[in-house]
Amino acid sequence: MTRGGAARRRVRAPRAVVVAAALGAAFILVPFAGLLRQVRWASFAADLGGPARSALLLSLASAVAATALALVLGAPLAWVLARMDFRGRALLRALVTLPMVLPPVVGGAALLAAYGRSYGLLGRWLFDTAGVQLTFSWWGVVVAEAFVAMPFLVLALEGGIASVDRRYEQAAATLGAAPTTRLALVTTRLLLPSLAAGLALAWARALGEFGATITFAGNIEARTRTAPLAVYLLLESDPRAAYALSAALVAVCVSVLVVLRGRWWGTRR
Amino acid sequence: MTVGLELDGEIRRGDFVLRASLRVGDETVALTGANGAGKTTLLHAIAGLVPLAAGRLAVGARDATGAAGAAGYTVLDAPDAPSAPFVPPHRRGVAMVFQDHLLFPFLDARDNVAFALRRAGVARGEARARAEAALADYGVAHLARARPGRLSGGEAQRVALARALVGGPQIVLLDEPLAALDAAARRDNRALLRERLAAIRGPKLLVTHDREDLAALCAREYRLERTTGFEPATLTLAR
Repeated sequence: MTRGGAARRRVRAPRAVVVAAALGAAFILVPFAGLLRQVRWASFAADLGGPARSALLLSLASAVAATALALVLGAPLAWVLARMDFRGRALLRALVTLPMVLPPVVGGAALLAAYGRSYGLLGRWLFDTAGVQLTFSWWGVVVAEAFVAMPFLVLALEGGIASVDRRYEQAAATLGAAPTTRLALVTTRLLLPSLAAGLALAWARALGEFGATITFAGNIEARTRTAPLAVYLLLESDPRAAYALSAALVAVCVSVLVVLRGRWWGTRR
Repeated sequence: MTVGLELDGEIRRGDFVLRASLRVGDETVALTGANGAGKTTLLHAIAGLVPLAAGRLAVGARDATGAAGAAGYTVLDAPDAPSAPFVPPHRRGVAMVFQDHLLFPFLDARDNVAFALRRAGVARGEARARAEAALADYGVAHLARARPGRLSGGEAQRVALARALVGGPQIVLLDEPLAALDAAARRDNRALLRERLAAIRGPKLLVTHDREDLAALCAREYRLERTTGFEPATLTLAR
């Protein structure tokens, strides 16, 4: 039994609210029912072969890479936002979380203007000096996904860092731990639950990324065509494959919810 | 030659100002005073978790003439001095026992104790062996593999004492170590603490509200007077 089990109060809710709540739940659940009805389970493996399969694998891999990039760039940022007091912190936080609320296509356009090969703010220099071209490449997919996913990681980690009991770090200091040791052995360890939640959220967001990806990295089969792009295209040409791929993505996302379980539903009231 | 802790200084936290002048030799001295008078803040300043705003904090030995700078004498914090020396907490050789223990929840009792030894460069295997021996000294050998969440208050405190004192500290700071315990555990742990503190040479400072702790453990008492308005809180030698 969870903590809430014994203490949960039986509230007699007004009937109208219960009906409205049921409608709300149905609004979310009916599309999934429809989706699952369209899947041809007998030929599921075959439907999920060929282009659908390569898009799914490409998506899983690029989402992992994007999450890693978001972690490397986002963790120090979360630490600075949580721990340092400086002028403009609120503004910085707002700007960093902008990709969460921005239309993804606009994010893609911004990435193009920054890293595009011919006229990008940095892209031209990147290509001339290092020969690196992000647009229409797999790394472009990774950059686009990381751009939209990083705010989720930063916010989850920042909340975690802010709620760490700093007295554990003080205790570690009196036990002879230098600042970097305290960060590595104490703070990071206390942060693992927030880190897991942030990584799962960022990875799920990266996996579902569509607008920024197609705008910045294009839609090249087996190079930049991710699973969401493939679903969109296959709905026209091969609906059975599209629905099989969709069901696979639903399964992946349900697993992410399971990872977050206990943290976001269940133990938390 | 006297070994000891010398503090003449001022600590500030926001609007709160504390002025303290204290000498602790090879003895256990009580630090008393009302809640909010700044007892914990004073311990934090000695541990280096809070810097002094003014004055001087030093530890060690002076020679017969009383000259500073003798062997083993270290200035820990002196913001007014030209070089403004400040020894960070992890290099002060302080042992601090916190009121709610602050055992790392992700390590078992043995690894909590081994943490301090590992930071001093002891190899993992040896650190664990010495941690187990230390836990045995504090009567909690059977709890070596238990996580802090499973320990009672009295047990957690014994582990916390073992952890803080295992490295052979040069200053011992105890922040109401017995306050959170029930009567029986309090009596047992007080006897243990008395025995252990007697075995450690150097200055030992104990924050307490309890007259029995004071009588059983401490040679002298400093009292922090809480003040109102703009007057700083001050430390005076009681009795």
